[in-house]
Amino acid sequence: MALLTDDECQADVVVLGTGLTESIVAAAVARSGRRVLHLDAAETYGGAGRSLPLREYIAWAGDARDARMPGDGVQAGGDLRSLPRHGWQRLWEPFAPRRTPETAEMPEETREQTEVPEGQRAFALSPERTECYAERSFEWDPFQQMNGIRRKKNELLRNPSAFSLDLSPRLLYGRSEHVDVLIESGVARYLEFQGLKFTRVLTSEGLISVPLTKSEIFQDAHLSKAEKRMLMRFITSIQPYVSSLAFQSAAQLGVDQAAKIKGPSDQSALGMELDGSWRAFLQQQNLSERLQDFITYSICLWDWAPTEAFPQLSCREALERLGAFISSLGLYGRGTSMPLLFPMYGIGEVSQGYTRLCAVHRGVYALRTRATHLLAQEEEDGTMQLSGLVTCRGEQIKASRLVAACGELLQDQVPSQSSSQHCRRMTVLLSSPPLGEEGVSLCVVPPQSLDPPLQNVVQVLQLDFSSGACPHGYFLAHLSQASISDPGPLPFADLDRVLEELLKRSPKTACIFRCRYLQRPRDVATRWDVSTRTGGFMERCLHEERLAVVSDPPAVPQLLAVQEVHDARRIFGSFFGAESAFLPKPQHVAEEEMSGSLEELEHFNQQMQAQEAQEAQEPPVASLVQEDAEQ
Amino acid sequence: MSAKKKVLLKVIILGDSGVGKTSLMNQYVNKKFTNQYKATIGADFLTKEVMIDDKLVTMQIWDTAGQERFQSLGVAFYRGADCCVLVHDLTVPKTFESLEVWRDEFLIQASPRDPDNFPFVVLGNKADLESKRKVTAARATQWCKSKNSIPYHETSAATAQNVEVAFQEIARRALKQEHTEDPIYLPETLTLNANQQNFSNNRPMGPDCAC
Repeated sequence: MALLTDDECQADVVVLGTGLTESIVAAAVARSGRRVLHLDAAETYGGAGRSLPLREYIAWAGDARDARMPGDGVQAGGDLRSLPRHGWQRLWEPFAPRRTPETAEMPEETREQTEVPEGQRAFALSPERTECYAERSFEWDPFQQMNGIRRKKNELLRNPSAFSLDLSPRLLYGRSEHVDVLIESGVARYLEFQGLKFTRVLTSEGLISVPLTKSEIFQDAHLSKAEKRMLMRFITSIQPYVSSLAFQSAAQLGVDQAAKIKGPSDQSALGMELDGSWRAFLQQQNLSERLQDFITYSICLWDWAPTEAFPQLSCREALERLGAFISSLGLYGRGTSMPLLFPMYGIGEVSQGYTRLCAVHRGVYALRTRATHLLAQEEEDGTMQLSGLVTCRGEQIKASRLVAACGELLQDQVPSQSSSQHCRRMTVLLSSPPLGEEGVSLCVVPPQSLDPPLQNVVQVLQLDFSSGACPHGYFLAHLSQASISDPGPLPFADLDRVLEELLKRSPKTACIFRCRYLQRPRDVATRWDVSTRTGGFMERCLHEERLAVVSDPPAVPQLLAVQEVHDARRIFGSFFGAESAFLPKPQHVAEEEMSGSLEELEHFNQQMQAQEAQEAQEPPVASLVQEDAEQ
Repeated sequence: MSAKKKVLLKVIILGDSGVGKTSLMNQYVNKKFTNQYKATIGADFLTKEVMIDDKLVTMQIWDTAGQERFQSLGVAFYRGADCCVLVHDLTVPKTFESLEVWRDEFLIQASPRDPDNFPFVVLGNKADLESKRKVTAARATQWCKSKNSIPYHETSAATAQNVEVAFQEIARRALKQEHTEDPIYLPETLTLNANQQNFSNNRPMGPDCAC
């Protein structure tokens, strides 16, 4: 039964789940020279942050029960992948039991009786794995407006891999900690990105583009002259403060150095109270309501309306966000005015990039592998110490440290509690771009734009084939709205209204499918019944920093990947000390970069030579040395 | 960054563990880049510039980095491949039987636009161990023929036998594929690199920048 060799069963750290944070931790641990065994019960990478092809997406969304494994619905949907998998089963018997391990049906007591070595003890884990996405639904042609939807559906299902649909879509600031880590670690070499083309605000007057540069403000057709002056004055007064935040890139400083740099501390800059309300500050600056919305929602990308129940944006955080935005402006790509990057094919690619880095550094990967028991060694003082785990194939893994995604390591009969903060999500496939223009772009809808006002601001991320997320000629819109209150009977009402409002502008646009769900990150703290033996043991492992539980993808910010690298760094630091190098540049990447730079230099010199030759009508200088000498 | 448009071909090597994928790659490339390979870490991807009919192209050969061992290669590995090399060990019949599955796996994961004509190349490796051969050339050739005439080479990463020839064919087929694969206009994608960041560090707050 066992697949892993004895050597592979010895690890320093076992990671359960292949979400983004887990994958970053795995890469960092392997990069530091330690042995990593990385497992996932699903048959694809990405965990709660995976990007799915169409068939898997439908199977996932159509099955509203939460307590199902990500791969479970796949075969029911007649997934194409069953084809070669059967091939594998035929050829390679050990792979046959890929899901519903036989232990799943056994009662807990029986499962307790796994054979363990002398002096060790096994703690049974629940075979259930749950997800943070609730109330999922999927509909073809939700507005019953399409003729030939059946034909369209068949056409799309014929090539389901043309889709790569994010459950929790994520963007990166062009200059941000995460981008620095991607570059420094070398993972960026595996990835491609699309820059956001533009940003819009949906107001009662229609879709308005947000002017991001001085010339755009000057030429803007919607703002009044007075507003343009107000905005320029505000920008000028805030500039020295914000540009001081645009500190050196970590790719140059080294990631660890950059992490030590503190955020804004210069209280005096604008005479503002850093902990005070940003809304109030903007009002003091005499900015019109509309400009306040522009700055707060489309530049700071703040997720909450200014109502009492919601978190309020402080000046400190607003300036940090403004700084992140501005220091990223114009970094990547011409014609992309927004300083945000969308990873091609979705965020699932980014976690796969990290798993590759881990594998390159001798990390061992096994999908379709679930942990059934934790193993503990009895110490001399009588306490139990984490010593490893048992897999669904009965392999006994020896490891002293464990990282687990939120949906892993659960106990029978202990329901996960969700935090009250959640994100309402809706993804639609459309026949024309909902934001009026093609390209990856963003739209924010301030609450007051619609009448009656929305409960909270809505963000709309538009994707097309250039992002690798959907086929040519189609457009995806990810609509999302953060919330705190009880979802109530109609949690998606605001998202529906925004979609309706956007579609009103192009009556010919057909909505081919609509998928809706709640993203409810679970509480990491209250996941076990600590009065039980197993729960108590796991709680103690957590406190002793031998076990780390990774949070679900955060509901807020809805679209920005900012939390994952922080979390991964914290977990890595808790295991091996904050001074351990976190994903330093591998030697072979440094060498590649060096040869890349030399190539640049050579090319530059060639151009210079060509130019000089043209100007002087003389034969070009033969070598670099000579050229240097002339200068 | 570079102004000259480079042709970059992505080549992936598939096959069961132990058939010599990494060794083949290293035998082919490391003549030029020995310093880039460290035995202590697994292989990542290796690049090599090749001339094909007077055209200089960069071949980027991706190793599985061991993720194939438990059938755990993610879809990201397969994306955008211009040619897929299927390797078996001609002394181990099971590795030859797996080729069918690797080919299917590739076609589903990579989902090329024209699966029937996607370029594969099959390499029967460890040809230096002739006395231990279990898969005859006839059997391999026949299978390749049945799959829309995939070219077949017998190679040895140990002695370098046929390696150069095989990779020339791989590059040629990849380049041909690269020409046919882009019938619709694809917008340029962005890649992140340190040079770019360093460049922009010195970027002053331009006159056209709002803040």
